Amino acid sequence: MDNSFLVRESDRLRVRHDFDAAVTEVFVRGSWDPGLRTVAAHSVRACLAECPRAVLVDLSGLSDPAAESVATWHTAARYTAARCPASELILCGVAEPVRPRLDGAEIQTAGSVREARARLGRVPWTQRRQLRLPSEPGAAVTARSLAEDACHVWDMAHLVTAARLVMSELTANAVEHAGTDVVAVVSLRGPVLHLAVQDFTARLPQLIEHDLDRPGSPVEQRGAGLRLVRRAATAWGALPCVEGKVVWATLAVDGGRNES
Amino acid sequence: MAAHHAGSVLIITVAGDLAFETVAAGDPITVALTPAIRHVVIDVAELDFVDVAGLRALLRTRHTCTGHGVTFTLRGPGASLRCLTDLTDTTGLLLGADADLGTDQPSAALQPPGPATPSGREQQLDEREALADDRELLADERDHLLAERQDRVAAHQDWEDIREDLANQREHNLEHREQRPPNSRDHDC
Repeated sequence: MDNSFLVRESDRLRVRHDFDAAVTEVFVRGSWDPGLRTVAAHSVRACLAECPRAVLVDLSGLSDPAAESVATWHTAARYTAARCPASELILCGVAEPVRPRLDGAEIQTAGSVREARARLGRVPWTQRRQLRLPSEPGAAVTARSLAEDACHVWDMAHLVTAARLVMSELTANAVEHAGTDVVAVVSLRGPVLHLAVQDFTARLPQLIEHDLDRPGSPVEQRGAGLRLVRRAATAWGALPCVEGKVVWATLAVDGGRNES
Repeated sequence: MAAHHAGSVLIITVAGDLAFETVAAGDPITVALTPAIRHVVIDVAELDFVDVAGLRALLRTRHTCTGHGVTFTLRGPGASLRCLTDLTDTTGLLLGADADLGTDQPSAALQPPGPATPSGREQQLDEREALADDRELLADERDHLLAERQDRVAAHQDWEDIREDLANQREHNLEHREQRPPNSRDHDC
């Protein structure tokens, strides 16, 4: 049971997140086989966990003569409709023989990624705050103040403790490891508070489990910041962006289950 | 940050934020231990925000103290710090058995329990109430996290169930097709 959602890329699957538009594009190329199916299922779920505006799956480069990928796209569409109603999943550039076999009310298709994006329109969330900050320790202070203020203004004082911690750790990590400017964003996306920090290096974070054999508290070992984010957040993950990457975390606004 | 000592007790008051940006400039909690000091109390009642870096600084101070045979006590931990120690499993280490002590007399915190003055007892009752509130807050947050984790397990199960569902449907459709009389307009998939 894991709330970490790190996308898996491969030679046949690439992920690109558009930070400003809150849209993630998944490019699937090459021949469909069980390996690609595993990577695709995992990565689509990881993209959806981030609660984006939309996930656009570009299938124009997919070779699937036996239409075996149909099952995966159907599952993905139903899963989106049931579990991430605020997000849209659009399959783009779907060719024969897959396209005629995609049916069902949950399936959305478009001729191309460009067409899908044009159809999407603007981001629906009105509550969103963003700051670009230089790579220095003070960025963590500003970022967590951003999160705290947002929680108060949006009437979610009960999330302040967790939001400040998560935002501070994500920002501190970016400052420490990326060394580039960072962009901190807080937004309210339906049932979750979304916290994210973009930096301009490509390397995705790795969660390092603490070494049980080493003496002392796990907090003193490398990777404690992300381990804390994992504990404090509902979900967290990282996505490659066109420029750099984003590390994100969500906090459920209320403690109950998200009803489908 | 302020430090003063009363007899064998050194009291360090930490206020504001104890975090990545303050620790980055160097260890802020310099513990001026002299041979006369037998007890160190870190007063964190005015601590607003603490993160992993700040926690590490506190742990380092504790380590320094125990290394010198000096007791280490955190006084007045608020909800923010308790939340962090809870999430990092350091509550026992940092807050331990002394967590309930929070009177204003520094040496009183370390004396054996005796008859308390009326105002002292009131203060202790207030502090115990505040602690109870904090614990309730933590319990609520724990329930919240538990509910979210159950939700995620269910999400994974949903994906698998939907997959199985669709697979069964396809099988059913296949069987249904095979049972129909041969028709020249049928095509193989």
